[in-house]
Amino acid sequence: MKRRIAGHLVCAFVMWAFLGVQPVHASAVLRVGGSGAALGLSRALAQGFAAQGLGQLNVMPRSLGSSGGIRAVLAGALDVAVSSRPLTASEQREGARATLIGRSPIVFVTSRADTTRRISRDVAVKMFGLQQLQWPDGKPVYVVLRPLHEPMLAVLSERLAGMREALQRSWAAPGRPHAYTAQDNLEMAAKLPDSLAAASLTQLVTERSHLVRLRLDTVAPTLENLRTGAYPLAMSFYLVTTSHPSPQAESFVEFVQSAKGRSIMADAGVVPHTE
Amino acid sequence: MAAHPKGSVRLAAARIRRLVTVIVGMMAVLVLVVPPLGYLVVNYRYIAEEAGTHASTSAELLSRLIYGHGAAWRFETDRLEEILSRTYTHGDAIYQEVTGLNGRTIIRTGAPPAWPSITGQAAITESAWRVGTLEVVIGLRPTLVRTGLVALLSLLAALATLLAGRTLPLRMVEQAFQRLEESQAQLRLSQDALEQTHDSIIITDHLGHIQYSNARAPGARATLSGVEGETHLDAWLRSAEDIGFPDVQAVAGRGEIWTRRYRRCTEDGATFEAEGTCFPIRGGHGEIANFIFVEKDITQQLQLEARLRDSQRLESLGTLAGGIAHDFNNILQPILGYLELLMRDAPVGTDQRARLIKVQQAASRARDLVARIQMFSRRTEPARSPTHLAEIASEVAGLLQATLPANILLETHIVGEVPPINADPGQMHQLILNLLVNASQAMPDGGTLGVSLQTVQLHGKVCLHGPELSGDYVLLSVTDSGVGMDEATLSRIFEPFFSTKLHATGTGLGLATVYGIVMNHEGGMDVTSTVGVGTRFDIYLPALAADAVVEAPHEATVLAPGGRILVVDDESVIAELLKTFLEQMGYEAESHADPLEALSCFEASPQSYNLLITDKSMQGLSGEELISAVRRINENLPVILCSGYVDADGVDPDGELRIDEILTKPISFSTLAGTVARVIERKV
Repeated sequence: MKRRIAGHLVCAFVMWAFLGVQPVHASAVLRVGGSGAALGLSRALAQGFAAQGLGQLNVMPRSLGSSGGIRAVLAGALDVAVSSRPLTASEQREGARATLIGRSPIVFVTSRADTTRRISRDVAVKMFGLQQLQWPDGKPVYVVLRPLHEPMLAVLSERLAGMREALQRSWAAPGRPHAYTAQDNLEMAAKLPDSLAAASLTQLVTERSHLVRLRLDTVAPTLENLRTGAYPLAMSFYLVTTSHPSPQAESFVEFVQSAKGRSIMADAGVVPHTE
Repeated sequence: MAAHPKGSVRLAAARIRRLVTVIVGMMAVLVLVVPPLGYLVVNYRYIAEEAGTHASTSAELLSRLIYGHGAAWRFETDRLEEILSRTYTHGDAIYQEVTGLNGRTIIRTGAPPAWPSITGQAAITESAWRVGTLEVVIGLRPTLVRTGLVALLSLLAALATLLAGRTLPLRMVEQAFQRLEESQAQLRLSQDALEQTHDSIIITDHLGHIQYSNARAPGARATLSGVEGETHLDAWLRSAEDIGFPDVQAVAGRGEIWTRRYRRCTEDGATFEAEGTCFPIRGGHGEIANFIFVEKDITQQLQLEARLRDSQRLESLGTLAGGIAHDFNNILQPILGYLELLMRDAPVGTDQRARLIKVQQAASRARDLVARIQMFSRRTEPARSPTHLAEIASEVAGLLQATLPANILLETHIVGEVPPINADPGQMHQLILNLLVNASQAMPDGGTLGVSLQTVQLHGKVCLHGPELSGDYVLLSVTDSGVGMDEATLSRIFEPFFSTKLHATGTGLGLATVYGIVMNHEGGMDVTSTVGVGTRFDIYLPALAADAVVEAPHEATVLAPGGRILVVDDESVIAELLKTFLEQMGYEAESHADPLEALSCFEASPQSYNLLITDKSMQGLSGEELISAVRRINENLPVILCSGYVDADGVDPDGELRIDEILTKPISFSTLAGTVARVIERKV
């Protein structure tokens, strides 16, 4: 309890020191935040950026979400936001600029410790639509649901037939718990027995999740299968800045697109954009 | 057991109607007010709780979401909106607004509801620092609309309650009171019936305390036990005889019916024979709750029973006497018949004829005695004709006046014009004479002997002797101021040969003859007597209507000799006598003592007989059976039936045998001659 209160105090102090009242300054520490799915990726890139001596980065400890990150950039609260969706027209009008940095497979994961290693598309759609409530062995399936605006769900709805209706149905069903952040998503999937959730491979890798990664039909969610197009489900990541970013921000974007940056991304479960 | 007056029942009904109206009105008001008010209060409290709770829980969720974000939390509007949109499920209009510390709105969901509304607030915290406020506003208008709907339904329910509660219970109340009135009327009827009955009826509790007594038992209401207002059946019982309530309770307490006869004295000193009956009434649990005691005056019943016994005894005596008379007639028939033949042969003035005359006189007395016995036993069919009883009474009184002692005053009183009766004048003569002689003999020391006649109209009169009488009757009353009779004597005076020392001078058949004559004429008779005061005989004889007076038929006495006659009588002496009579008359006669033998002779030569004379009661073949057999051979043969009994009603009631004449034994020569001649002449 004492450790938790101390953590709260430290975080509050850091947020007050870097985000609360200080204006953006050229020599200041670069502030990065945004999508929870890319939180681990952001930290890895920040470490690589710092290791190159290009500057100091401060990555927000918790997810702000893609939309929250973009708004924070436009409001000057962040220098760079990592988004898992492209900019909207209104965001572009407000002066936001996005740079695609890579793609990561969207993986169906479970906490089941048995031999379940794959899931068909139909079964995935039925389970997320609460039409199939049991695993093939008869055990109940606990699906971890996400809010409908989540960029990952938009990809699933686009790529899997019937998923859009299934997600709308499950969203409207009362009494079902929802994970509002990517971190909550993995945490709930890990805690619930016989769970089913969807997450980005980069989050699973960077946050060292022990959840079982399921093949989609027969295809494993690997970077190689994503590069060859064998694996269909992937979400893109963008770096968002203002139209007039600071030199440090521009330097960070360039670093990410560099060979070192791409290498870090590949290690973090992301296929760099140039590939 | 006081009955409620009808007015008080109606008053109670009106009071209950008012009470029901008030109660139903209050219920209707409650039905009108409580549901909508309760619905509004409950829903208001629920919504108020909901607003506060929703604000707290949502603020907690938001705080958890923004944990670690510092000032950047305000940029997570999408997630905040999603959380707020999913946490409220009430369904009513809701407005949620998240504001920062500077009061600036960060997000809002829905539109602010119109007045009235309920607001709930909660703080949004980040790392224990308050960073904003969540305000939840829920509109009350949907609730008010629903409350209005409930109020409308309540109004309808209240009206229905008012309507149903005002009509159905009142109808039930009215029906109940109607039934109450009916049962009270029934109760009054039963009470009236109990009060009007001739029996004393007393109802007690199981201990014998009197709870009800009708008007016939006024003594039961008196203060018998000495305690004012308390009465007990024991005292009522002991006032009549040495019977106590324990005696009654010992029997009735076992569930059986107690009955006993005793004599009770009334308040005016009179006594009557009573029969008390007591039976138990059980309560709802089978225990004996009450006793009902009924005391009946059975004096008249006992008198009737005594009369019935007397009548039956006299009837038996009559049957016995009739049988004896029949046999005596059969014995007298040859004696008198042969005497008559001997008298015809005995020269006049000789000693032999004088002795025969004395024998004939003795036999005639015997015949008269038998005739009187037959009259008592009603075996003598009266020769009815319109008879004026007043004339006969005057004639008999005139005859008797000369023989009465000087100390007996004979008074005759005839009230108005007495109608004739359909009677045998000779028997009426005998009736009045016997009564007057009996009365005169009851006054050895003199007195007044009264004879009166009057017409009376009777309606179901029950006499001491005789059937129930209704219609116009001639009442013959004979009174004397003699010694009178006690009850024992009075009950036997009509028995034949019954005599007392006082009556030792008579034959003992006088009043028995009176009894037979009255009964033979469908009359009735009452006798009242008091020792030392006198006796009164009231004889009721049916008056004859004027248009029913018919002239008596003229009897033919023509002797017409000639023809062959078949005579049958199982008494061979009588058969021979009749044959001799007929031969003396000039007929050819054939006598048989065996009816079967006679029938064989007739069957052998039916055309040779012109007349059949047969006895009625015979061994082997009765007179009726013989006549029936003869009729099958010769339908037109004249037939005369003889019998010691004469009961025309009992012989050939349907007329199938077509008997020409019936003769009663003993039969004299002249009677036989006239009858035979008449029958043969009729057939010729």
